[in-house]
Amino acid sequence: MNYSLNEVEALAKKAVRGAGYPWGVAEDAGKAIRLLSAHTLPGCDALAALLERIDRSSDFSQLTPNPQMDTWSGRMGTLCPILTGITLSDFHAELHHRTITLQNVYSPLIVTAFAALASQQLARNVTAIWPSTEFVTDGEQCSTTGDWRALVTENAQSLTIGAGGDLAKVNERTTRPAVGSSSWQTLNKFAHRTYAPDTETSRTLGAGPD
Amino acid sequence: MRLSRLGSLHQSRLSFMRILTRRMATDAWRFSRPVFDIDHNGVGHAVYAAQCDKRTYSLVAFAHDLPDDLRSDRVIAEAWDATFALFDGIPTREDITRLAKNVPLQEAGRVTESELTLSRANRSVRLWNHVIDCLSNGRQPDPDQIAQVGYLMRTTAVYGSGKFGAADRCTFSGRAEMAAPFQAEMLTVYLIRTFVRDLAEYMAVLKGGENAVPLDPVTAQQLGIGNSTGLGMAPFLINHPVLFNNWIMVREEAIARVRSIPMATQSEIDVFLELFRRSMETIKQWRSDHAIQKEKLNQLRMDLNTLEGWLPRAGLSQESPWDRLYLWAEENLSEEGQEYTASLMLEPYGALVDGLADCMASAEDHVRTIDGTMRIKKALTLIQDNYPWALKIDWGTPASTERAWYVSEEKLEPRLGNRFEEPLEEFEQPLAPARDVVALYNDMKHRDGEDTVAQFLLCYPQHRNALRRVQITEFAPYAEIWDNTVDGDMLPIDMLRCKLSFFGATRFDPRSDRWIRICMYQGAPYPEQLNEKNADHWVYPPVGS
Repeated sequence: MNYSLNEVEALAKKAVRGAGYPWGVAEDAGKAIRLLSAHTLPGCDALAALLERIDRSSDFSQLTPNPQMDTWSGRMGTLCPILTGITLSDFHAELHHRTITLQNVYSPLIVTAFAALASQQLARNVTAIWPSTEFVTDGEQCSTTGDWRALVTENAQSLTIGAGGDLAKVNERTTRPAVGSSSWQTLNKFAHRTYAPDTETSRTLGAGPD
Repeated sequence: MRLSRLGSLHQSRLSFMRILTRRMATDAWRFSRPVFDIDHNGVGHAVYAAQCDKRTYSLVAFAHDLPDDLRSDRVIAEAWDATFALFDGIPTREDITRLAKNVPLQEAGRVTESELTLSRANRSVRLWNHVIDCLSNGRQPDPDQIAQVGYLMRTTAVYGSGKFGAADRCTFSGRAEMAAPFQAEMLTVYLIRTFVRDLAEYMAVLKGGENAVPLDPVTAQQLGIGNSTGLGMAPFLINHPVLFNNWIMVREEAIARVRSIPMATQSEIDVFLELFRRSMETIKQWRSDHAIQKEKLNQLRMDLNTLEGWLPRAGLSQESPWDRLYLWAEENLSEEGQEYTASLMLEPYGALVDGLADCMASAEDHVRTIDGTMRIKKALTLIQDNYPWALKIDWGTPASTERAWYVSEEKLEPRLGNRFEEPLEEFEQPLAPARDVVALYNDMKHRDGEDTVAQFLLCYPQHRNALRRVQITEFAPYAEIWDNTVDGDMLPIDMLRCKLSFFGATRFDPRSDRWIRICMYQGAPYPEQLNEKNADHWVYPPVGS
């Protein structure tokens, strides 16, 4: 089924919040999933897979990288792509003088959206390289070469991000991303946790008589 | 700006409705009704086409036979008197078939990128029945009843921006006629008004046959489309800080331009005085049963009487007339009167002010990327400069955080509750910027000012939402409502009224602290009458009409 970009962004944001992340992180995630979807990349699939794995993590800080290290890895060995991505975007200036290697990132496709945001802030192309895949972005467009599909739901053992690179054949843009029903249902399941149960009190007082 | 002032704003020539009517007249839009297929029960569909230079927009309207006990303005309603979609182009039969299956279901259906808006409306039952009864018997309706209500139907939601599958705004915002905010929604309501008039006349014919007469055009013009708005609209101003800033900034700029005019011509003064006279009459018709609004209306009427007494001595033909008038209003009138005066002052100066409409939209549709390179000391300064009022609030009292905004499982209806009386914290929406920015400040102030916010957010990801808002205030001084939106005494209707005043609404009539009824396009020419002479000041109907 096809959705509007606003629907995708709104659902992604609510789903990420439902999985336990703070609202501010969820906002960034919604924007990232929208960006991927607009470039005909399966952002919702990647997010659904991620949230099933990291649902209500007891300590998100363990899944967040330490940007001071040469290699970014999680304290328990795995990285959340949302938390890694926002760190990449916040610390985009690092890419002026080094490449960053990420170890064991879940659903690494999500990181590429933040690479695009980093690119916008750097005003330079940014490239993300997996063993057999390359993603290049200039902040507005992106290209994917090689086999990137495994990186929707699998871990990336090693993903290197750096400034530079040239766009290959640019991904098509769309305003009507197609999302599989299974992923959409999964995201709705998580989003549902942000809705308060309807009680008599809530229904009578919450919206008031009209 | 404070909520109480935002809740005292009035429509102006920069309102979205008037931006649209001026454009439609200047560009000589052509209107037609290619389909009107309604049966003897008043059930069926119609198509209203609005054609501008480059394209056509079509309102596809469905009329239903709604049992009275199912009629509700709330989000949780499941059936309505009429439902609508604004189609991008001219709908084919297949489009109409598809829309007939989905539009009457509203939130439970799906629309496509061909639809720009999805909406619904309910009758104002007493007036509807009265009007049809009169017309069917060859009589015009009672003017007092018309004046009392002001509309035959009221919309209870007008969805756009990609909701339920409709087109995202970014797919059409590049069109000149869609550049200003909410033009698709305003066009939708304009066409709905025409449909509602036509439907009422048609139902009168069904009832009275040859005896039936159409609505007198002057009476028809006095009917707007009502709107019933609840909490669904309130978070908008908080969730779109850059857009909100642009609206306020444009209005402030317009007021500043007019205040800096050194001399007014006699004809400019005449326009002002004439419209003032007309608005005194119009405001007499505004009514409300709600205690707060009754008080505000009384205050507004008193303000206008005071202003009326002052105007002969105001020296409008002398230097800096509008600046002196505004300063006088600040000293002598309530916020309602001040904002009314500010809006009215703009009226003679379309040439100076109307172009600012182009700046009211926001290129930033989305969540702004946080600038991680900002130093903590800069962020702290931004908070001190832009949130001093929030820092002064005593956040330790229960009243200061009594409210929690949330979304109910039941049809995703937005609601407002008491966090100490209901278990809502887990579901709280991020609609308390004042509280959250102060919490951010309290955690940030102990850190090394030379550190970056990127370093800070690594340890405090929960502050991303607040920090983003703080960074926005660096270039958008009006982005934040300068009030505590979770305070026990906060009035959501102030937020609703603010947004509705930018739409161009009049006759603000709160039904509670969180429901408001308004009227749109009251006094406006219908499509067949629209021209450059009447496209602008219709919101001030001539006295005696």
